[in-house]
Amino acid sequence: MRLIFQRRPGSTALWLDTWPRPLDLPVGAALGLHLPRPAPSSELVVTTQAGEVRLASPAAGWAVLSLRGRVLSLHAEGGPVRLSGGAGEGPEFPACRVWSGEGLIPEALWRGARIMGEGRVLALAGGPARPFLRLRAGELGRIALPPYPLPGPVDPVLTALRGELPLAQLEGLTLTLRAGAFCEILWEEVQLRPNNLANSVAPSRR
Amino acid sequence: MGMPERILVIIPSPECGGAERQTMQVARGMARMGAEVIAVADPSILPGLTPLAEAVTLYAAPIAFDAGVEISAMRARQRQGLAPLLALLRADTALICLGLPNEGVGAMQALHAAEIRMLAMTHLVRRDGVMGETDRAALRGVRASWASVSAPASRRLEAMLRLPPGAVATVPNGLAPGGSIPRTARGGRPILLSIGRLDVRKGATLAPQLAAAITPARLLMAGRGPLAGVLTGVPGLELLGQVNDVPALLAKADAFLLASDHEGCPLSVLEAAAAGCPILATVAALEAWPEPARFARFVLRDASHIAAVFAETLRDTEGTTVRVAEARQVAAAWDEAAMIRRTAFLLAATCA
Repeated sequence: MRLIFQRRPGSTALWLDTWPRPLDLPVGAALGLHLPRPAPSSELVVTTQAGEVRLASPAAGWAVLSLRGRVLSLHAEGGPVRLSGGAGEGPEFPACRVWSGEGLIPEALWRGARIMGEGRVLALAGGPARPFLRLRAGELGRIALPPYPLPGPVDPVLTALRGELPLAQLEGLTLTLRAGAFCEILWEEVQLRPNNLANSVAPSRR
Repeated sequence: MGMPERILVIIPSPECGGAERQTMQVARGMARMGAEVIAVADPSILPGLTPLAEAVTLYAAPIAFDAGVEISAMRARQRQGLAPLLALLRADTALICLGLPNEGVGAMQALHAAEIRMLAMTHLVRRDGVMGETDRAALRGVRASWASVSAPASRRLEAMLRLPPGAVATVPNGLAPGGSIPRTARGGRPILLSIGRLDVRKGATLAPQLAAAITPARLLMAGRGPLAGVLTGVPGLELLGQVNDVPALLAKADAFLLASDHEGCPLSVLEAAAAGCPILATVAALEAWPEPARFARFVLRDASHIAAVFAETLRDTEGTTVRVAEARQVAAAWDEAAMIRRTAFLLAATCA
């Protein structure tokens, strides 16, 4: 995932309502829009060449939506949404970010991770957002991503920012970690399991 | 929070060397990720940092560590130098570049007073290094997250700061991707190349004897430092001063030498590895890598031993070729993107 376009949030804001507001942005895999305040009763709707993408109850800060095709317009449903205007460009140009090239799991899903234990979803500005857990010896933690169809069985790719990697088990998109010693873990990505004989279409040798 | 947008990079160094270059490399990477990155350094080193800044905004503050100043006065100077800027800049988190672990204690106190979380990245943790009781007392209560550039250095830092095992993160240095320069066809007198500050730590005092010992080969030294004056005019030794195109220099050398008595994770080793230049180094200089004997030849800090290993490097072409191939893989595996990504998440974790 790479940040390809950015308009930083400034001090101005614009109200987004049901009227579609045209948006001219480079084609990317994810779009971030900046909200100065949460909009719990509203839904952000982005219309692209491939259809609509929706995000209900966006929180304050960067709201990220996965994209397919070029963005055409933007509107809100269920109530108006306040968006930050671009720094130095005024409210007509909403603050936004566009990323290209997503992994197996879209960026918006990582940002929606639920974490059971001491942790957060971490991101540096427009960089990738990934769930992070801090575990002490003997502790168990869990990270659950929203449901998402994957092309096959996957294994988690974990990084130990501190300490050693704990035991990890992935069921669906729920990751359970059991630590033998203090560690700080980042769930970086998932990778498709390599084919083994059980999955192979080649004839059995037995 | 966990999602910082405005990052402060504090560089309280008295000079612009490898640690500062690496810090600016990370700062540029974070700016490319979309963060607003502001670097603060002493006015004396700003000219060296300016060409490395790109989208990073530079500010000057009188914060350079000076070993000649009494330690509590040094801390006060850094605190007073940084405090007005911190109030102005309102950063979400800070990365502080520490040549040695105690070089930025005053700056860390200023960050703590301004309620800015920080990642203290230590580049050198000497085997004989100690953290003075007054420094440790000054750091008490300062909420800092620590990291260093190699696993052995991290373990030493934990011992020095009396932190639990695993508390110090490790972020190995990484090399920016760049076009490799073809090795120049060698002929004539072989070249042994040293890159780094001309000081005792890097082994520059060995140069006069080494130049004599490897004759008729030439000893080339790139870099500046306090021993430059002493080494000027030594027969067989060529001082190159500050060299910007290091890959081109490595491409024409027959071997690269790093005779340091301690190092963090030297970028010059990665640059030599990427350039396919055979590496001769002390064990201490290569402690960041798990199996350095696979890609380098070890030398003692002794001119005649270095000369003997250099001669073996030229003679044993098969052994040298195997090591050079290993070294290229090491350079490819330790990449800049991984270093920046890891630092970015560690910084974000300071806000979690």
